[in-house]
Amino acid sequence: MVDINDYTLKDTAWCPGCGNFAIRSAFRQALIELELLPHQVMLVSGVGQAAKLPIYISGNSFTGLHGRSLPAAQAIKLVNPALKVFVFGGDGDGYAEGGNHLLHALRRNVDLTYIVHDNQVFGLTKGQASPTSLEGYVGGITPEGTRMPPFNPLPFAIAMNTGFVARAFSGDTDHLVAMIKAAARYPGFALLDVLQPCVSFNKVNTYKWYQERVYYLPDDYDPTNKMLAFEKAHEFSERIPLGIIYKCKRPSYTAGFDNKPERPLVFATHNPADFYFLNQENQV
Amino acid sequence: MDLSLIVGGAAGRGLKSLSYALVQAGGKAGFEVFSTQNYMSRIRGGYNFFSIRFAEKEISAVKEDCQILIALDQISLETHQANLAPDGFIICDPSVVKTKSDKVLLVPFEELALKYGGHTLMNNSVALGSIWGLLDGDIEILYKLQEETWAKKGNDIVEKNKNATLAGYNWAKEHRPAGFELKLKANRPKEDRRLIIDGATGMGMGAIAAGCRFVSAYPMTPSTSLTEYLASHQLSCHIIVEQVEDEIAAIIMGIGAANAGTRALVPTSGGGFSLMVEGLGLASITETPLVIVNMQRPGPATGLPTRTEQADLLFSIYAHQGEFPRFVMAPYSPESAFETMIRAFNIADVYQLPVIVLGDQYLADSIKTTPFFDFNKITIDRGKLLDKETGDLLGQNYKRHLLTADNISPRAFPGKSKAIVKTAGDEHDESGNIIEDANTRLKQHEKRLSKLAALKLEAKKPLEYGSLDASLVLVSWGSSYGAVKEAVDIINQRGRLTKMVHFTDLYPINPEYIINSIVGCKGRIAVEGNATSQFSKLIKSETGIGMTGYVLRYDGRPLTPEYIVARLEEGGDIPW
Repeated sequence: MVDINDYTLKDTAWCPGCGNFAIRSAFRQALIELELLPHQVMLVSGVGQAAKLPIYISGNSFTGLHGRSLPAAQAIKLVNPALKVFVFGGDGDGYAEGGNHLLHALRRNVDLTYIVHDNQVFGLTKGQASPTSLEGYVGGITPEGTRMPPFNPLPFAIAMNTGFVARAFSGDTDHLVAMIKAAARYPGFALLDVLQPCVSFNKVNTYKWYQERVYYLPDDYDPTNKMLAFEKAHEFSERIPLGIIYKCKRPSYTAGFDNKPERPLVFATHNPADFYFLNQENQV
Repeated sequence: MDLSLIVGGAAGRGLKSLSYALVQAGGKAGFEVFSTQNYMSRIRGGYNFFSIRFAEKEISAVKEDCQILIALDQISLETHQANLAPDGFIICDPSVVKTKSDKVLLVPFEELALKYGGHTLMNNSVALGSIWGLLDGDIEILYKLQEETWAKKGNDIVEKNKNATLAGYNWAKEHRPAGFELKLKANRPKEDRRLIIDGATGMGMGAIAAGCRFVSAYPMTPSTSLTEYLASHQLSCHIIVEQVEDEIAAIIMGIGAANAGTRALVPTSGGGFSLMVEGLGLASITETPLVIVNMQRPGPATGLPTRTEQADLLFSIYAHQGEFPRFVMAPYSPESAFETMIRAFNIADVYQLPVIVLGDQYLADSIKTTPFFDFNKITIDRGKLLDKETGDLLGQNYKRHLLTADNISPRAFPGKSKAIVKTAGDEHDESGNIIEDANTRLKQHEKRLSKLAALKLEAKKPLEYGSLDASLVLVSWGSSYGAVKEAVDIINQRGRLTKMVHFTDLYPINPEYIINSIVGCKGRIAVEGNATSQFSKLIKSETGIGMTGYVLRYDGRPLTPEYIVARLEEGGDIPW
C-alpha cells in the first residue's frame, strides 16, 4: 500500500494561489492510486516555476536545463525502463525552448508522461508572452501586444499521432487526478496539457476566464476518431474541452526492452573480456 | 623496407576500395601499415587521395613523397607527380591518363578487367594485382584478400576478381619497367597478429571495452564513423545508439543516461560541441560522469568539413559560463584512442564530471596496423557507488551531493535501491534541493572546484622521445605524435640534438611535467595544428614558461615530418 505519508511535500517558491499547488496535490494523489513509491518514479523537468515541482515532492528527480527535460527523460527511460517517468514543465519550457525536442519525442514515443503546466505566460521571468499567449497579449517584451498567434499543442500532437493527448484544468483536482492516472497508464508518450492560471502575471487568462470556458467531453466522445479529435483540439475560444482528446495505439519505443536479458542496461554487468571478439573483427 | 604509395582519383569510383584492399594486403604481407585519406566534402567526384606506407618497424605517419603513384585519373597524376621520389614510378591506365614520363608502368586496367574479370568494374582488382606484380609480392595474399572481400557475393565474383587480379599481376611482371628495384619483403612472424583500424574504430572499441552502453549523436563529419562503428555493434555489444534531433538533445540524453547509471558517450565535431556547451555545465553541476568526443575539423562555422585541425583545445577548456572542472585528453593513434577512452570513462566516473576527448579528422580516418588489444587487462573503475543495502536503508535521506572528505559523493542510481536520487542544474544543497543561500553555494561550488587538484595528479606524464641531451624540444599534443616523432629523427640525423615532448592529457595541466620535460632546453618549439598555438598559451598561463618558436599548420592538412622540418628550417611561424 502506498499512502500519503510516502510523499512528503516541501516548502515552495510558488506564489500563493498558484495553480502549481493543485497540480502537485493531484500528482501526489495519482501516484498513491497508481501504487507507485518514490524510488520507483523518476521526475524530470527543465527550468521554470512548473519545473520546480520535482524538487518539491518525494521521488527520484532530475531538474535540468530550460527546454531540455524531454531528452533527459527519454534517455533515462531507455536505459532503465523499470522507472516510471514523469516530465513537468511550463509552456515556455516545453513549447518554446524545447519545441524541437517535443517534436522528436512525439515521433520517438518513449513511454513517459509529459505534464505541461500551461498558464499562457512566462512566470519566473515575470510576465512575458509565452508561445501559448493569445494574440495581442501585452507582456514585458511585447508592450504593443504579441503579434503571433498562439501555439496549440494539441492539434500538433494529434498530427504527430501521439497516442495519448489530453487536457485538464488545475481548478478541478479530481479530474486532473484521473487524467494523470490515465496518462501514466498509457504505454507510450502521453501529453497532458494542464490549464493553470498564473495569479501574478496573467491578468487575462484567470481562474474566472477558464472556469467560464471549460467543459468536459461527454462520455460518448470517441477519442480514437482523429478528425473529431482535431476539431475538439482546435476549440480554444468561447469553449475549451477537457478530457482525453485523442488516443491511438502505437507500440512504444521501449516495448520489448524489458524482455531482453541485458535490460535494463543500468543493471547489466560488464566484463571487458567478453568483447575480445572485437579484435577478431578487425584482424588483418 | 619503407615504401610509400599514393592512390589518387575521384570519389565513388573505387578509390576507397582499392586503397583499403592495398592496406589490407600490406598488413597480410607482414608489414606495419599506416594510411591517411584526404577527401573533399562531396559524395562523388572531386579530387581525393590515400597515402599508404608499408614498413617493417612501427610507423605512425605517412610521408609526402612516394615510390609508387597510382593515378586513377589525370588530375591525380598532375597533382602528385611532384611527390614522386627519385626511385619512384607511376602506375596508370593509358586510356585514362596521359603521361610523358618514362618512369611509368602503363596497365590497361579496364581492358584487362573486361577480358579477365568479365566487367570493367573489376579494374580495381587489376590495379591491385599490378601494384603487387610490380613489387614482386606473393599473389596468394591477394587471392586470400579477394576471397574474404567477396565471399558474400558468391564464388563466381570471387573467381572473377581473382582472375582480374592475376591479369594485373602478370601484366606488371611482364612489363616491369627498367630501373624499378623495390621488392616487397617483410618478416613479422605469423603469430604476431595485427588489427588494421583507424582512430575512430580504436575509440569505438575502447568505449565498448570501457562498458559504454549509451551513445547519442547527430551525424557530423568527421565524428560519424565513430558513431556508426558503435551503432553497428548495438546488438552484439548491448549498446543503445540514438540518432537524435540535434547536439543539444545528444548531450542531454547522454547526461540522462549517465545519471540513471549507464556509461554514456556523446560523439560530435566542433560545431556540434558548440551546441553542447549548454549541457556541459549541466553535467558539471549535477556531477554527472559523461564522455564527449570532439573530432575536430577546421572552423569556424562549417569551416572545412572533411579536413583536420587542432583548434578546439582552448574552447574545450573554457566552454560554458561559470567555472567548473573538466578533464581534456587527446589520443594520438588507434591504440592510444583505445586506452584513452577507457581512462576517460574511469576518470569521468571517479570524479563525477565531464571528460572531453579531442580527436580530429586525421586521427579518425588514419588507418594503422595495431597489436591485438588485451581485453583481460582492462580496469573498470566506476568510482564511489552506494551499495543497495545502504541505499535501501537511507531511502529519502540519501544525499546525492553529500559533502565528504575527498569531495566525491557516493553515487546511487535511481530505482536501483530505495535511495531517492535528486539533483538539479540550479545550485543545490547536498540533497539536490534548489538553494540560494551563500554558504551552501560556496560549499557545493568548492566541492566541485576541488576536483581540479586531484585531476592534475590524474594527468599522465607526456611522452618523451629523441635525444636525452637535447637542446631543442618539440612540444606537441594529440594526433601529431607520429609526424613529430619522425621529424625528431630527421633533425637528430642532421646533427641537432632534439627531442619530442608529447601530451595526451591536456587539462588540467600538471606544471611539474612541463618544467621537468622542457625547461632545460634552449630551443622550445610548439608544434600544433592551429594558428594561434593554443597549447603553448595554456602552458604559459599555467607555468609561465614560453616557447622560443612555433610550427603551426592550419590549412586543413595534417602535420607531416617533412612539413615540420621544412618550417623549422625556414624559421618557423609566428602565432596569430
